[in-house]
Amino acid sequence: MSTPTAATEPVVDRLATEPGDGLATTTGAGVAAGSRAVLWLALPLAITAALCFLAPLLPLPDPNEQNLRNTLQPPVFAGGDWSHPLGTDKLGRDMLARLLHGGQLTFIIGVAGALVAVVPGALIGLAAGFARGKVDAVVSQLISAQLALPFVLIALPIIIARGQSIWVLLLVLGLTGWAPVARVVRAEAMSVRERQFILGLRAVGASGARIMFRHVLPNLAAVLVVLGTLQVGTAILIESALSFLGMGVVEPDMSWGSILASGQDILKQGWWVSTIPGIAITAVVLLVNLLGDALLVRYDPRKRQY
Amino acid sequence: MRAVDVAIRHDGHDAPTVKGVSLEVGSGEIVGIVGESGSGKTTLAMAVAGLSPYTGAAVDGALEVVGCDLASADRRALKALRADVQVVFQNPHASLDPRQSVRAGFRELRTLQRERTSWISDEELMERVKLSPDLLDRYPHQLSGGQAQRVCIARALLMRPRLLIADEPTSGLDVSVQARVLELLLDVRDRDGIAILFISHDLAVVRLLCDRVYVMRFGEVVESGPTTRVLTEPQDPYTKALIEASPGRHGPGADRLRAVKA
Amino acid sequence: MIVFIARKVGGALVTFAVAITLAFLLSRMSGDPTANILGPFATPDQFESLRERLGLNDPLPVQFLDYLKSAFTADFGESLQYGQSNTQLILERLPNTIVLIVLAMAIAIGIGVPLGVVAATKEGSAWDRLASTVALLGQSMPVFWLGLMLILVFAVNLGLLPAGQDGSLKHVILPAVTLSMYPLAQIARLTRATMAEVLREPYIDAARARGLRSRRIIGVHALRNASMPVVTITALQAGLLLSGAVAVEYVFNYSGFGLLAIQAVEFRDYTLVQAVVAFGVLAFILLNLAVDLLYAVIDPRIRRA
Repeated sequence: MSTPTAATEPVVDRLATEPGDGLATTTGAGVAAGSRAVLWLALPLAITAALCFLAPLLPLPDPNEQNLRNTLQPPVFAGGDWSHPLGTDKLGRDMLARLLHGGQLTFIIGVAGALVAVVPGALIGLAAGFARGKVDAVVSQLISAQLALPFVLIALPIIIARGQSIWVLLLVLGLTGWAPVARVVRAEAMSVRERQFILGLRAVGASGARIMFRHVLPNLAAVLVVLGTLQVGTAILIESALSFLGMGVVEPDMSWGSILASGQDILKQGWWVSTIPGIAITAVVLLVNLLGDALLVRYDPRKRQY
Repeated sequence: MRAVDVAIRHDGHDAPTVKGVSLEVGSGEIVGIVGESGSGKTTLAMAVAGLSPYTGAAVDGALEVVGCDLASADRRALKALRADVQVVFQNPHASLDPRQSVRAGFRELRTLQRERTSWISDEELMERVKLSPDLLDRYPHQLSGGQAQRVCIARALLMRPRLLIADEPTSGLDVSVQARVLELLLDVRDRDGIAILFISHDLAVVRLLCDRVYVMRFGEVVESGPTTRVLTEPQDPYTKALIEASPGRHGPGADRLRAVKA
Repeated sequence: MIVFIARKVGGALVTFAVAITLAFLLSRMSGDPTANILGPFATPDQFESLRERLGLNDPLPVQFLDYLKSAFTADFGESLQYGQSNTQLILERLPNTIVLIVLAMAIAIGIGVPLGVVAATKEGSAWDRLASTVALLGQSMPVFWLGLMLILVFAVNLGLLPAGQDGSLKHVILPAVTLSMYPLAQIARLTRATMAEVLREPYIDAARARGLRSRRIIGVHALRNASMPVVTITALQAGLLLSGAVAVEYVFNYSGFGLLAIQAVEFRDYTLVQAVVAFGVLAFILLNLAVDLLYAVIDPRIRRA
């Protein structure tokens, strides 16, 4: 991976399993390198998001303002001028403004979509992994069944019944995303559960629920952060796809996916309308994926997935 | 506590891990259980602690701990037993929640048993186990093995148990550190009259700490009696073999350990 | 062996039952679809007659049994748009999608595996890092956008793609390449990771010490062991492939199962959507079952489990 490969000691997980009296140490250099990678990836994402959310305050034209005498003007690097640096679309609307404003919904739905999948998924996975027995058997079966349904087959029945809206979008994101999260959390919960301190807590009379929420869950924090980050990328891609198909974000709202969709039929004359949002989506999702990987390496190099 | 002809079976195993075991620990006694890995000593200890349901084991036979009949007790009765019987495990770092500072750990215990734990403050508790109160805000990975183990003992003491079960508490520690932990256990018995059930495979340590000892093999008790007698005049051939094979009787660490008991 | 197969088939049946139930619940729980189908200008009578026609007035258990019956008899009634049998519509388009998916997988494995192997042998080098990042790029790209870009470059500017179906294989190329991007990236990354691990194993060094040529070592020993995870992931990718196929068929106007599904939603063809979902679920479960059994053939250790 392009993240620094300096050996990183897992800080949190360093239980002294070796006999002897050695003080648990953390190799400062390794940890610092891991944190630097996380920072270098998180920074461009934060800046991009900030730009999008601050767009209304920037000196940009109104993204919805149509100007039918100025349609399909190319961007500045393809023959246009600086009045519209990224060109205009088929209704003469400024692309730069649309891109920045559209980013708001893309980011919001990305993060919300990730939460909607990770929170239920984590709770269910936690319950299954911790409780074991019949509860686990039922939940595992549910998880497999859910994973057997590709997201398209879930999205369709809902959309056809409900029509499209942001809420439907979030519902679809939640329903498709919870299962992979639950599967990972369940496995992690099962391994934490086996650790001795959990047994010790039973010995002092702590209840199952208490142990689950106050002890197992915090030890899963690192995994959840990584899963959440990666899920943001997935959510953005799914939202873009659905918006592109006309089933997600629609006029007058805009997201990068919907802007992309508006450029489909003018590929020859106005290629930038579809190309530019696509580049934006790819770049953001790439950064998010790299960030997730960097977080994974930073907190638990044993689980690297290259 | 008293166990009479107890058998313990683990889920998924046909043969019982422990069978036909009778055991007794009176208040103020330090009783040892020795044996090799797989002899069933940990299983027995977990049963006495009332933790069998959580380790997937079922108990058969009469098992009475601090006046409570375990074999027939339900989960609620077992819970009431919690404070009276405490356990200290082998790996001190694995026994502490890596995300809780020492103080936070104590605080949680206090929340679980408010009245019972009000008899001593955090600082005094640390001093009781010969640790500096400065360590209260540290996290487990910032403690050495010996320090962590003493924190575990402190957590056990906080609950004012009548029986303390120590499952190989010193096996993961350096010899010099072991001595300090053992000193602490003796102190605990002497000052508070807490009975201790001490599990170990290390005969040298058992010899110095325990009043009586039970020798286990393949889930059965093969010999029992006062420690000095069993270890100097073993009756059972297995016990003899165990004593022959045990290192450290004449080693450098043994002298320090002997100094502990003196 | 028989027991193993029976168990797997049983498991598949259970999963199918659960998945179908979930799909049913999802569509019913989303509320009354007639409003969405008919739009805001329909009269109450029209709503009522549509509801009757779709069987939505029946109690839920009855609806469920009806749904199950259609699933087992493969009769989903008629499409609201076309008036033709839904099953027939699906069966007409399905082969096209199958061709597309198979071709895409072939490309993904054919290019992805060698790429992963090469990257693994050069582990840690600049090439490796470059390849890994490019692979990650492939997984970050929206598949429909890639399709559009390919159309832009190859069709609009270079005129390689015929408009619509012309019966030849040409019109499958671009869609298949587009669809293969994501699985290709995943397979490449996974192959690289597994190969890298396998290459670190002591028995590889032992083989080298015995004088076996590098190529033989890699090709025969390492690859055989590294192929397991790749087979598994191929099965898991089936879901992604169908979703991807839907988008790709839409972009390229490729007349397959995916495009049918989209059109069904666009035109609010409720019955067709039900049929599509049931078929989709069945296909998935069957595919996973096939892979499970294949896995057992490849790795004898699994059979005894």
